[in-house]
Amino acid sequence: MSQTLTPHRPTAKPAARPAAKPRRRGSILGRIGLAVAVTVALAPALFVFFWMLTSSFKQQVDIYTIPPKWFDFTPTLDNYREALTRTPFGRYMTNSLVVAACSSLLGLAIGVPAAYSIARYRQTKLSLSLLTARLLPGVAYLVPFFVAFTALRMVGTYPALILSHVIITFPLTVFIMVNFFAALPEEVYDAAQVDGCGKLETFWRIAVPLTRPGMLTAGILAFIFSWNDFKMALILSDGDSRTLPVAVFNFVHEASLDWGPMMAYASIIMLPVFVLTLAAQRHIVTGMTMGSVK
Amino acid sequence: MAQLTESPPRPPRKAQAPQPPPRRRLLDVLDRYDRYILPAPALIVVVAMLAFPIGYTIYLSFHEWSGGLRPPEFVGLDNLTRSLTDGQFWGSIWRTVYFVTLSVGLQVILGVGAALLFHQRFPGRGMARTFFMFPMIATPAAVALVWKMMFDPTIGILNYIVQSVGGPTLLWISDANLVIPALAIVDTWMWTPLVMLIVLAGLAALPQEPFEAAKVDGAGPIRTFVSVTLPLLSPVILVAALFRLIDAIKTFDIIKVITDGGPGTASETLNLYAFKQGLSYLHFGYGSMLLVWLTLLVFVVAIVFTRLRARTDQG
Repeated sequence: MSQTLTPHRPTAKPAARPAAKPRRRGSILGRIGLAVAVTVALAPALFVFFWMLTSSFKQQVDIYTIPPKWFDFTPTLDNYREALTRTPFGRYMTNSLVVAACSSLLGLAIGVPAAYSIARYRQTKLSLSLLTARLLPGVAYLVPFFVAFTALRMVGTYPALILSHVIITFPLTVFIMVNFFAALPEEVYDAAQVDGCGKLETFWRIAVPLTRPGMLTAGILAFIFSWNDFKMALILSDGDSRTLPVAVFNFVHEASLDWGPMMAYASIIMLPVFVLTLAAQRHIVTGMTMGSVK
Repeated sequence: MAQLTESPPRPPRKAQAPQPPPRRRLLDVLDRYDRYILPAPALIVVVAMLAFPIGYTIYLSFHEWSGGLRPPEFVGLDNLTRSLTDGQFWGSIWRTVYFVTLSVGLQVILGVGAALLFHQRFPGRGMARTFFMFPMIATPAAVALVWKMMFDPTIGILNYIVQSVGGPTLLWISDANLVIPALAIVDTWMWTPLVMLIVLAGLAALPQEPFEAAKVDGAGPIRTFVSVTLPLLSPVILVAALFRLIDAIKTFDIIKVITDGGPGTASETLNLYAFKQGLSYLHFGYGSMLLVWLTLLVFVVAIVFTRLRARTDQG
């Protein structure tokens, strides 16, 4: 992990194609083998989502049938109707959106200047403390935060949720952005200085515009991780301020074993995440690698 | 990077006026402290997210408190001695170690395999990689519910699959002996993609010369993998394992949703136990003590692995 302390140029981006090296086309047998291997690797990853999605369109009878019905069932939207009406879904959806959007923007606002400063001035102590924070168990935040927000009468408010989610979004933003700032060639800064550009101006007018793709990467991932958070919201939200992951968890308690509507609920929660992932594939691959390793 | 050529920076104004305007002068003063100004908001957050939780947790671990108006009562080392003789605490440590070893072991092996596979070039590789990443991007609490349904002994699809290949009827998460392996399967399903991504990045950065040398020496694919790829990759694999270890110790969402520590306490890891003590029973003092142990456990693992990593780097 020592490598993580000094900013690194992103040498290894999985999305970038490796330098073209002549490799002979495999034999037909080899290609079939490869296709089989890829299928075997992808099957478990996708099956769970397939099963969730098909179950969400099944009537209860069809869910409880053994042997299971793979495709030969009459699809129904009852589960979705049930999921959307039994709980104030629109309210929870708004909560999730507001919290995820605000906390990822706040994470960017705080993390981008810090990442620039770490990359440019090799502030290893700052990055070390962020790495230490990365080690702390999330539950270790919950007790102090719960006590503090209770004392401030903020449990169940947006600010409490958003601030607690900054703990998720901010380090992620820094870990990703340090790479992007470190990848800017030194000449960019030299040229700015020669042109009489002040230091803060260099950051704002030159470094920030040049690293917009990085900010998009960090922002998307921060949004997803905030959207997915369960434990912070479990403790710091109540009643009307619940976010979707907590809402679906409570749905279980209210409707035990009512799998159909639950699968519908789960499908709706994951839909925005998958749309984002598919729309920004390359950003997600880069960001997940940087956000975890560096 | 392609983005460097896009959006050329506006030509900055030159400070040529003999008397710079006041705003300009203020900026000059601020400029001198830019390395403190830029990370200042971050420092506040670091204090709020690092110093405050650690300090307060340690403070509470010396106290007995259930919230409310009465202030925390100082009890000295009572919580520490209580934890040392608490069978449930030691049980939860054992279950944590069991869960973490099983799941991280599985995902490192499968993740390295998947990385080697997705390093090959084939049509649709980018899309295949993205699909493979879906489990780690999906909302854990929601995914956990799907697994809970699949684990159901009577209507669950997993038992149907096991039985259709001649296996026995398994109780999965209702079986005290099977619940941790079952949760490890979910964790592996979820996080193998991360190991894959990290190792994939390592594979892309490997030097080509050793592979050419191995080819010249007539090494077959298996020999090349064992003698060239694996040693070169081992630092990256260690990093992936470290990150997974740290996070696996802290696994919360899937255990909370799928079993909530049950049946009985059969899947109650240290994290779950600390959560229950601290936030379900509101024993803030003892819960904090358990969190101190959990944090120490994570730090020890991180330090041991960093040392290990330093050794492989030298070697």
